Parts: sequence; C-alpha cells; structure tokens
Amino acid sequence: MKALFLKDLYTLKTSKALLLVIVGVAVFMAIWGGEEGVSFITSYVMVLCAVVAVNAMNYDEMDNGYAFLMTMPFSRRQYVLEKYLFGFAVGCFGWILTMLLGAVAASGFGIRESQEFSGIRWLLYGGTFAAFLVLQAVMIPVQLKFGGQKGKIAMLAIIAAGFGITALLTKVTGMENLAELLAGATKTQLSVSGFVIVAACLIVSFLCSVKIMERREF
Amino acid sequence: MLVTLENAKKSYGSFTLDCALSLEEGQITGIVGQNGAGKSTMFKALLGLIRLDSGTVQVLGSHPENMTAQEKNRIGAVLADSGFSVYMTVKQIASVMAAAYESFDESGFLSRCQAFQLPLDQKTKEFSTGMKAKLKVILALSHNADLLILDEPTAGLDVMARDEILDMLRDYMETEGRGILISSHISSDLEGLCDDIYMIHEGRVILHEDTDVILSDYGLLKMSEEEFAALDKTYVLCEKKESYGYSCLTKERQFYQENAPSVIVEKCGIDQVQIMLIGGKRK
Repeated sequence: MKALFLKDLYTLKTSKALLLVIVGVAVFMAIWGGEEGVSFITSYVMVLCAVVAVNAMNYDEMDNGYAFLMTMPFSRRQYVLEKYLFGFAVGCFGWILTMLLGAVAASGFGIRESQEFSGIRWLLYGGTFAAFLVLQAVMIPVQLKFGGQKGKIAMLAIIAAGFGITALLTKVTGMENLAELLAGATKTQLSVSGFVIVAACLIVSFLCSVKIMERREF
Repeated sequence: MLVTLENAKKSYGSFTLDCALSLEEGQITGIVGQNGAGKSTMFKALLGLIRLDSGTVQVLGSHPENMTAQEKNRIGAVLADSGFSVYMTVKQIASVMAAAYESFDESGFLSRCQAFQLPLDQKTKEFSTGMKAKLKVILALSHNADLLILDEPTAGLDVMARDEILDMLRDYMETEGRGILISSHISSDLEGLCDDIYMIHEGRVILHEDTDVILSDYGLLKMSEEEFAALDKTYVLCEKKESYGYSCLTKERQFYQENAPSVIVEKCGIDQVQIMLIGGKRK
C-alpha cells in the first residue's frame, strides 16, 4: 500500500496549481472574511479536499491505467482501502489547515468571535469533517463504478437526490422538530451519534467499493 | 508448469475466446494472431484482469484472482495499451516500484533507462511511443520476476531497440525456472526468441508448433493448376488459389522437395504459415 500512497502523492503534485489556489483563497478569507470567512474556509477547503482525493482515482483510470495497476502486487481490496486512507489523509490535512487559519484569523487579525459562534465552533469543525467523510463515502464507490466522466454525472444525480430527500424529510418531520432535537442534545450525544452515522456510512461504502472493484474487468 | 489455460472460454458479443495453452519453466512461448484474434484477451485472463466464462487458468500454481501479493511479485507484465500514469517521471515510477516489489533493483532499473536514453526527470506523458515501450519492458525486467507476460512489448520500437530488448529477454532466461509468454506482430522477433508458437485466429488456437519445426519442416509449395491436380496432397495442410495457380502449406517440405521436383518448394516462416492458415482453405 505504501507504493499506492506514493503514487497518489506524485499525481497530487500535478494539481499543485489548484492546491495553491485553494490555500490562497482560504488565507484570503481568513484574513479578510471575518467570522463568516472562517465558516466559509472550513466548508470550502473540505469540499475541495474531497474532490482532490477522488481525483487521484481519475489519474489511475487515465489511459487505461487500471489494467497495469491491477497486475502489481496488491489486491483490489488493498487498492480500495488505500483510496479511503489517502482521502482521509488529504481530509486531515485540509481540516488542520482550516483550524490553523481559523486560529490565526482569531488571534492574529483580532477577529472577534461572537459568543454564538464560539459555542458552535466545535460543531462547525467536527461537522464539516464528518460531512467530508460522508462525501468520500459516496464519491469513492461512485467513481469506482462509473469512472471519471460518468462518475461526475452520477455524483450530480446523487447530490440532487440527496437534496430532494432532505427537503422531503424536513417537510415530513418538520424543520422545527429537527432544530429542537439538535438544540436539546448534548455535545457528547451529538458527537457519538455523528461518529456512529459516519462510521456506518464509511463501512457500507468500503464494502460496496470492494465489491465493485472485485467485479470489475479491465 | 508456470502457466496453464484449459478449455478457456470468454465471450464478448459475437467474439468468443476458446483456447488452451501452457508454458513450462525454461520456455519462451510466442503468441501470434491478427488484431482482434484474442491475444490480449488471453493475456488479461492470465493476469486476472478479466474473468473467464468457463475453463481453468493457473498461473504459478494459483488462480489469478486468488493470487497473493507474494505471487504477484513473481510476475512481470507488459500490456499493449496500459502502463504507469503518464504524469509521473521515471524516477518517481522507480520509487513506486521499489515500494511495491520486494526485489525491485532500483539502481539497475535507472541504469538501464539511461542506457536506453530515457530521461529520468521528464514526465512519461512527453515520451515517444518507442520510449514508452522501452520503459514498460525495462520495468517488467527489473524486479526479478519468474514469469514475464509480454503483450506486444516491441511495438513501436526501431530495429536496434528491438534487438537490445530481445537480448535482455535472452539474458533474463539464463536464470533457471523462468518463463516468458510473449505476443508480437513482428514474427522475426519471435522466430529468433521463442521455443514454440501458438497461432490464434478468431479466438481459437489454429496452430501450436515448435519454432524450430516451423522453420525447418514447414514449407510453401507453389504450382500451376495442373501440377496442383496431380499433387500428392497427403501432407498438405491448406491450399490457396493464386493468380499463377495454387499455393499450399505443408509440414513435410523435405517430402515435396524429393517427390515433386516440378513444384516450387520454399522455406517459410511464421508470417507465411499464418497467412496460409488464415487465408487458405484447410484440408
């Protein structure tokens, strides 16, 4: 798996320019964005990290690269596992960057956080990382199943379906009920339930991805 | 036995691969056939890239789908239409290979690349077809594999580079217990390298013969229509109508040289055998 990790790092280097733009925009927003800027950075960086991580699979697929890759000494399961671990590593990097920039913005530029924001900061950071992991859990099997071009269309369809289901659920359950539920829950309850949901998503996603990869022919 | 393929069947629409093949240790086996004959399909089945509809396949004693990393370490592959990511340099590829394969000889690999004038710090995206072909073969030879599965490894190479690659393959075989399965459209490469040849046409093996026998015993008979009518066809494998009369393929060139003095008897190589078996009418 070390070889796969190294390969993905090398191909990530080709996205140097994109990564610099991501960091540049994040730094700009940290300095001048205020409180809203910190929220923006967190979601912006994490979404783009998800895209960058999944992009590594596009490079593997290019020029029928999968065929040669699958002759190398690792199993398809190991290949899939490495994709999740690589994505996790990229996400961690992005998460640490957003927290550092948030801290720099608060202390270095005297951005005064409102009490409300201070109270939910942990929810913002934890929630965006959890959302990143869920995004990875959806994107990786879609990418493995449909490939680069079709995968993008499939992702748009899934996101649209996700919005549709969310809208339906909030209509059925009522937005107020959900807000009350979240407000009534303690930090521990929210953290544990969030962890369980994300872990379940990742496990199901991993098992699907392994199945997809093991069935694929090159 | 390094490789066995028995009653292997795989269908893609109207095309069906239906063949058997084996490769013993110490042997170099060549596969020839037209484009779309099934050579790459066969190789993909051996490498576990596709699943057969029926039949058995064993590579180094295991089914390709069940191979462990240690077993895969022992195989070097060259695929005609696939390779490493073109966004990596040779040095980066070397470090990935060193991490992947236990016995990867990184310094030897880089020296060979330099000997073949492959720039080490340039992305392979900018390589010519020939340079990419050389890189693929050097990669396959650089991790002490016991089995090489090479799908058109010399395609796109000039005659000097092909000669050097073939010499590397001969040197590779000097170690006991190794074997090579190689496909190529360049029959002269296979004639000088392979111990035996499988000829594939429309997914089926139409000939399996020792290379020496093809070159020494097979012959092409050329004759007029009258001579063809009078010819003893016991040893004729196939015949083909020509503008001058008929041409026939035989496995007993000596017989016709002695018994049909009026007939033109020529030595033939893999190309002529292939042309006759595919284009001619079989007995």
